[in-house]
Amino acid sequence: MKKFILNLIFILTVSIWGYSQTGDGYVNYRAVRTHYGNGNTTQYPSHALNSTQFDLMFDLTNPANTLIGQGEVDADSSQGFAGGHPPNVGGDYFAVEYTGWFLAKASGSYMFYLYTDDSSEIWIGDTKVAGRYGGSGTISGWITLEANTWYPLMMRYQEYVGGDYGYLQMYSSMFNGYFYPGHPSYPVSNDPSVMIKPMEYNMNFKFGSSINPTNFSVNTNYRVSDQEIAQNSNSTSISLGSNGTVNIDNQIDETLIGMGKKATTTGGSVEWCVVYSYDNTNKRYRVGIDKREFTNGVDPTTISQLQLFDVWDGPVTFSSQDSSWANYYIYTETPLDFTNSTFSSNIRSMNYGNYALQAEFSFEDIMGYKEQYVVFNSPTSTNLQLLVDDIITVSDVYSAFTELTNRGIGMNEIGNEFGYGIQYSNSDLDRNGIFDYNDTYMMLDWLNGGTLFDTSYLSAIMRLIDTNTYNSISSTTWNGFTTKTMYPLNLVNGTMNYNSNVSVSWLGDVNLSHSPVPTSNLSVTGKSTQSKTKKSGEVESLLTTELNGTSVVVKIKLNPLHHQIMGTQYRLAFDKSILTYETIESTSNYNNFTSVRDGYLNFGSIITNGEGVLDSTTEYTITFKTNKQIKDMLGLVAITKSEAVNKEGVQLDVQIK
Amino acid sequence: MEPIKCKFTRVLFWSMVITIFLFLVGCTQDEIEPAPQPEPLVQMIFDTTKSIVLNNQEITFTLLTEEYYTLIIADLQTESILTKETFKGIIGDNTKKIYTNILPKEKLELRLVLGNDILQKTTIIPN
Repeated sequence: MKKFILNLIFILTVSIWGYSQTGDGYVNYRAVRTHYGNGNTTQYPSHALNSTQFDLMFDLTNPANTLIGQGEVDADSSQGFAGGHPPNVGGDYFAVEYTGWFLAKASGSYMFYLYTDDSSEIWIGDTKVAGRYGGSGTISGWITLEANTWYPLMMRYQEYVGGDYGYLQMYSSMFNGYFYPGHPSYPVSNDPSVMIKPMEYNMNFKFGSSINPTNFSVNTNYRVSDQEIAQNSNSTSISLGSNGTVNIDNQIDETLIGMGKKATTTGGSVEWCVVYSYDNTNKRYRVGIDKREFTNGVDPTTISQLQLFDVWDGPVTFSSQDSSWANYYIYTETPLDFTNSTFSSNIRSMNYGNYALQAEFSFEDIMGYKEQYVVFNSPTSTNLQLLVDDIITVSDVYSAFTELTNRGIGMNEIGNEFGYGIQYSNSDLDRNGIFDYNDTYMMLDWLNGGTLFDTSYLSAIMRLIDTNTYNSISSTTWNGFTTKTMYPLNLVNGTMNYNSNVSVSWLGDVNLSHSPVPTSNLSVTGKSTQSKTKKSGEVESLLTTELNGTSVVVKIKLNPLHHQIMGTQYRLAFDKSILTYETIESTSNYNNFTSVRDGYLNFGSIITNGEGVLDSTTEYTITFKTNKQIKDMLGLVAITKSEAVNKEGVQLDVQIK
Repeated sequence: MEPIKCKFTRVLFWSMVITIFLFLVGCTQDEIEPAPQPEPLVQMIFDTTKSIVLNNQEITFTLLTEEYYTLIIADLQTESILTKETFKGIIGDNTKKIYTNILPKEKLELRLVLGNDILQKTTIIPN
């Protein structure tokens, strides 16, 4: 046995070094002329009677043997396991050995079936699954294998005289029917890298420059039902890198499960199938399949894929069935092309746009992955509150008001406020598909600490959109991008490398200050967008503080310098272990707002009707009560954020003096 | 009467006991009295270029005049002021308490200002 294993390793190694390695679907072979090429049985008998004698037939140091061919072949072909005849290999006195790797796609028992003339063996790893010795005949053996694991495979047979063939088929209850290795249900490869190449899944989240991606982490979940997802048992939280990328290979459940059956057609002589006329309203066809085609107990309701000649190969939805017909829907935006089908002789055009198809059906199981999603973990409520307060500010609200005021919603824009379609989407706070004053009303309510805009959970504000799609959202296609924290992985059986590019935007981020800037501008005729790049340090505010007995009084006075300021916003943090917020007063006669959070308050002013400016008389006075006697107050209050927005909608940093 | 030999033996015995005692005592390490340390001086906050400050920590600095001074904590990146406190200083050492709970946990600048003049400054890292 040791000798055999060493031989197997040697053969695989030689295969790796010596042969071209096409990979999927291929196996390496080695063919040897045996018995001195004339039937001489002095070195070993006419038929291998055990593994040791097989070893002798492939031992090239044995004078009875001559190498007559080596290379790679398509496993699922007559040169491979569907015949056993590699190129230029035939006649009498030869032996062929196939080596490669076999992928068990599901856990369970697999049967290997040999039908050869003459002796043959099939090995998986160091286990001989089946072996038969003598003239022509069959044998099978079973082995239990683990899902998603590549196993070394070796099949060999030898021919003395007479008929010569070597067939190897596989069967498993997880996959319907007998197939040669190399069939999609039983993948093989001669590329050794498959042994060390697991699934690779990279998520590339593109954030706005003001967001730190490392503050976010993800898990991978699977769909339990229409209304429920659950975390994969092998998923542990992973933080995003500083550039927004995260590798989630180890979170994915790679177990293959039954996903229904695929119906496949070949041309026949009986019209077993009818395709009814295209339903332009619902963008679908109804397809009827005669139930007599469902043999071997195939349940018509399990059909989820259909290959219909060369006119359709894709998903179908089961519709109904009666005693004669099973009906399905094919959903397609464009009608099927029956006219140019190469199977036109099997297709009969009927009245009213219906077609009858002379088709014979066969069915096979479809294996696939669970429906899985990468899901952002929720930050703490405190961090979420800070995040939302960072994202949605007076500049967003002013931009939204200006867009409406300039009749931007009618797309006959005067003010050129919005430059990208996603801005409309982010402005639609009430999610009704219309950006209007109800949304700006909610924004004002938000600034004032109201609850009309619920931001208490991350999925209420986060948008995850395929980056290509994100970049192409126009002023007329911005609807339908719901907020969510989960993004589908779209795993496909057989695909091992994924790179998913997702843009992260936020409901309420009207000015895209915390979202990636799309590469395409709005396609509105006559509209020219203008840069709204944030400018810093061009507005000042004077901070004064005073400890007066049991009161701490904070004053902030605006100095707009040369700007026409339409909005201000400050974030004043306070040490809640010592201070309790009491009041705020403003000298501004415009819309003043305040929202009191846990440990800080946002306040400021906004002009929404375009009339007037916030000038240097604008001052805010905030009063706190101390809950204990203090003599000093340095660090008890702090301005941690501040901004202003000018008449052009440009967001300005405010320097506190 | 005790024999001379016995007396001599007893003297020899006690001599040996005393010698061993002295030997053992003589080999014991001396107890070294620690030198008295000077009383720690009050750390002047502006005498160091960088300090880690804790919540409720008292900071001390010296003033030469009795005027209204302002302590300011500013963001090093933006130069924007986070917080300040104006107080009437006394000549000599002044001690003020600093609160750090709400301050960013990053390098900040503590300034002592009189009018528009920054008299002293140092880097602090709230902890």
